Amino acid sequence: MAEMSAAIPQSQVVGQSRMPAFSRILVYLVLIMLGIFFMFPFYAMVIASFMPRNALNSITPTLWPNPFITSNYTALFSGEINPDLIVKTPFIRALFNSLAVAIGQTVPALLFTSLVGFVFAKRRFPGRNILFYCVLVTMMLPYQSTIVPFFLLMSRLGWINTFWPLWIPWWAPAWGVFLMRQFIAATIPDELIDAAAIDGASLLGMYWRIVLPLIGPITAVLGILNFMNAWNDFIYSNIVMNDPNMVTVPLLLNLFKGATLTVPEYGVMAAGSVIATIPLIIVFFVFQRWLIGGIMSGAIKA
Amino acid sequence: MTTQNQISGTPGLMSAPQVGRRSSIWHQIWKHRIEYLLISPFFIIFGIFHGYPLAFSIWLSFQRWQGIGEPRWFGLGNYERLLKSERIIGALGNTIIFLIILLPIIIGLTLVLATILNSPQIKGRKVLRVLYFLPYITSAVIVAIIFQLLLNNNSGWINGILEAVGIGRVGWLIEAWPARISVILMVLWGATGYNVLIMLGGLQGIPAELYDAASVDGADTIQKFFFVTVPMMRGVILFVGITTTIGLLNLFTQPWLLFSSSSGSGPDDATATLNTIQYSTAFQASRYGEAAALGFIIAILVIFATLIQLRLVRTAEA
Amino acid sequence: MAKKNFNKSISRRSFLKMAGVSAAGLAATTGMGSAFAAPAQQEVDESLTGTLVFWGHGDHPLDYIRVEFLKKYPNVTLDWQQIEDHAAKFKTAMAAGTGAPDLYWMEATDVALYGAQGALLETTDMIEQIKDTLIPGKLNEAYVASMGGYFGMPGDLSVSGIFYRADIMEELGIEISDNMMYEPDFLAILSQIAEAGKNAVLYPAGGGFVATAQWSWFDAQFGGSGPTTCDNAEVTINDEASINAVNLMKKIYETGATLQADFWTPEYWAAINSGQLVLDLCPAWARGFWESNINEDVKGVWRVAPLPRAIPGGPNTGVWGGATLVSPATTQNPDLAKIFMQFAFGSMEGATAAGNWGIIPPYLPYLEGPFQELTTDLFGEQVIGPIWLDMAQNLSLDYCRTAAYGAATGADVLESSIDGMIKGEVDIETGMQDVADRLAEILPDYQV
Repeated sequence: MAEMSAAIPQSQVVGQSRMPAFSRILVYLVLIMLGIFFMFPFYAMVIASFMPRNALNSITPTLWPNPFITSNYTALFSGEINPDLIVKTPFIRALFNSLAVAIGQTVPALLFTSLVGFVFAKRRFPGRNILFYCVLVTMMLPYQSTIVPFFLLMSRLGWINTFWPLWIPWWAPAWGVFLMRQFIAATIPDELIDAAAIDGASLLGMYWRIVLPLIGPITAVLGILNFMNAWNDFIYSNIVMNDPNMVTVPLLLNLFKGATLTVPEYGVMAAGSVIATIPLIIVFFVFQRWLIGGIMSGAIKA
Repeated sequence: MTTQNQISGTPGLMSAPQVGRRSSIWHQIWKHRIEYLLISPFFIIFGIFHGYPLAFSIWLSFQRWQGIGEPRWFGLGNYERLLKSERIIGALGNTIIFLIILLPIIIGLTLVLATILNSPQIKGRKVLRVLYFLPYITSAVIVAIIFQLLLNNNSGWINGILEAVGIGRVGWLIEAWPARISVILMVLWGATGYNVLIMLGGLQGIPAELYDAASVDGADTIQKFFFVTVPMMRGVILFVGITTTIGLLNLFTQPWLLFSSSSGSGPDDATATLNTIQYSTAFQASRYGEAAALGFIIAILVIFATLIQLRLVRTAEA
Repeated sequence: MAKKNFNKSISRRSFLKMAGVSAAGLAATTGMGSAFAAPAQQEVDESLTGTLVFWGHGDHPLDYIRVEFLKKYPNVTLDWQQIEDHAAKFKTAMAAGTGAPDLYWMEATDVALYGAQGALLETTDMIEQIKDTLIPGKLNEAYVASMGGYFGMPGDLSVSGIFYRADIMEELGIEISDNMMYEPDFLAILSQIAEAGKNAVLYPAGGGFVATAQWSWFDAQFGGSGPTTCDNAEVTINDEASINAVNLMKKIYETGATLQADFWTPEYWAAINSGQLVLDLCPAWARGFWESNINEDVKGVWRVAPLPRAIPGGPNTGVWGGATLVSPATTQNPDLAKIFMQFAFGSMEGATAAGNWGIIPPYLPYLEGPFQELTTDLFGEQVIGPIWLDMAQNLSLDYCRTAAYGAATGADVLESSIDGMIKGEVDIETGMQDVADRLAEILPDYQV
């Protein structure tokens, strides 16, 4: 940023929106260098997925898989990782389970958080602040504090080896409510709400007709992040799932990390991680369409 | 909670709750029954699945418990033990160092990057957004191996480069301050894309008219950034600030993965955090009561830090 | 800590193919490693039924034992669930009092902790019948003094020794004898290695759990009882043996030979592959892990020797890791669990399967029998059985891993304090006194 601000001359023509070529090149240079910095480990993961087990252990960096093998992918789908490690959960099944966890968690969470965020942002009622602070406070406890009672609750409910522990508790994410509330309060003018009230709209009606159409960008952000959190969840899935049929992708890939007792299978792990990111990238692109501007200004003019 | 004041005059979160005359409190509640009805499913789920573990954890923090058998009452013993522990104080010091360095960098960098990536003038910005977001979806175990390869002393790639250009080796993983910098780099690497995305979401909520008006008034790019973007983004900046603070006060994964043989503590305990200590207290040393108490110490710190940030924003507004 | 418990062997891979072919006794295998066929099958018992659930990582020694068990008891269901991070999961289930599996592969310190709370299935009746066939030093770890009984079945022997490059030692004119003292023999060797510009003995930044493992070996070798007395009543982490142990670590560090790299990272393997690290102190279970991570051209040139002695006539080994097979007291199938345990590590079939996986079972008839012939990829033509068995019989019986052991050597007590003493920043006696004070503060937590 320092380079950028220095590069833009103070005498820039008023209202001009085009950057001079020199500073534009500088901006691109910084953006691309950052891009490489952020992309590098992902790239390393992709090439590792085409290399043998110990290739990641290699001290000499390679920028292209050498030797190039595809057996990590076939091993992943056959479940026969090496003669001694035969995985009991089919990878396809784990992908399905992860998808079920992520969708079943994200869609209701978006509905709940936007509704609650709207009520907190635009309605005043007794206890509003207290309730909102209650939401905030639970955000602040580390999971290690609550994992034992969480497990106890799930096993008393008979929810071990079901999706419920990974769905219902996460329909009420505190940070989601917080983010929704911040966005709605800042960007939806009260005039819109008041006008709807004058027209006799109910609270649910206002939410449906005014709020929902205007919160596309933040729903996209929350949707992406929530989906990815759910997709990547390890801690909670690990304690509630034992049945091979209920194992999710992070649990399955963890079998290859070898940090506890077995030899790491980094190649297969990288292959699994690469496949596991494909749905995430799809979700990213799908939701990113909602991040494209223009929604707000149109609504206000109307 | 803050910016709506300018737009609509709705009182912010921090303003005194406008409760009517005490006699009419029930009337007030009845009047708002629809609001309560709409938020009740959320709070029922919240109460059961987050409230109960929280209450259990409070109770546990006053017990001695090895995770088996009957817990034994310990009063404030766990808290006393923690508060006079030099390691806890050291870990707190490390955390404050991480906060002071990372918080401004993350907020500044992600806001600027989001603004640039939001600009229609930047070609290929959709691709760049994905690139910046890749750390968030790269396997953590593999990331740890890559960082080890990059940073290790004898054969690390970075030390190889530093030696080649005549600077000499840096003990990234074996000396206190370089170890902290390694953790900071790894956090920055992982957190940027995520927060850029949130900032992008916030930027979409700023009406284009405001920029048009600023242009008419003769503002340049930099001025628009400081006089339109920053004020309009205060709510989202506050969100990023608070969630980043919570994340850093709960920092665990990066030191844990980089310094796995010392339970995340690193050389001279330089990268120990409250959470690495809490994890080993619970799952390695089986002192669950003490771990619960440490959880509350962390939570109190987080609440304290959050209140400071809310106050700062309010002061800046006044 | 789970990560101290690595076990793995490569040689067993070829075994599966061979097992069907060969009769009892030694089986020739591909490569240099050898493995053994299970003894001829005894009678099949179809009357035994029931289900046992086990949590362990994929590719576990119990996978091999499971196969053998099912041959003998075909109507039993053994539900082996593959879970990599089972430690936190198991502890959570035990804490909640519900949802734990029937069988678990547990660290010694946790056996003491859970056993004293009555949370594990008592196995005294079963152990008493086979006691004489098990290594005493390992059997001790399944004994819970406060309950006066056994709680589980001894699993893998984790005796430790010296791994060294025989060829490079010869070049340097160094002789590694089976009967050395740390002082002066071993320290002189380290100095010589350092002078030659090579490394010996891993000592990671901050010390970490590698440092506390070394401390545990040396403390046992100096005749110490570990961090506490064996009844877990008194702190002994500042007694003479404990302080001598830290002193020895400091002297080893001061030879300048130690390698500073993190434990079993690419940097560590690179030091082995390049011939830079020529000697290390390792537990028996390290062998399989080494074989999987180092280059082919540096296999077969390594040799193993017992640890040097700290005091004349004292033990020439110590323990690091090594698990005990246990059942939670809540298991629905206590009798079946005990039958499985006895089969696993108290029978020739089970012990042979465990040995072929790559761990060392504590079952004497196996150790004195086929194990004596064992050769491995890592140690080439060296017949390693006699050395490991000698060490196993040498294990100190005065040394205990009690309920407080994990915490005492863990992150918040010894692990975080020892580095300063070794580097001379903190006086050892003062430092260990601080450690003892800290331990005394938390010790009541681990007493019933």
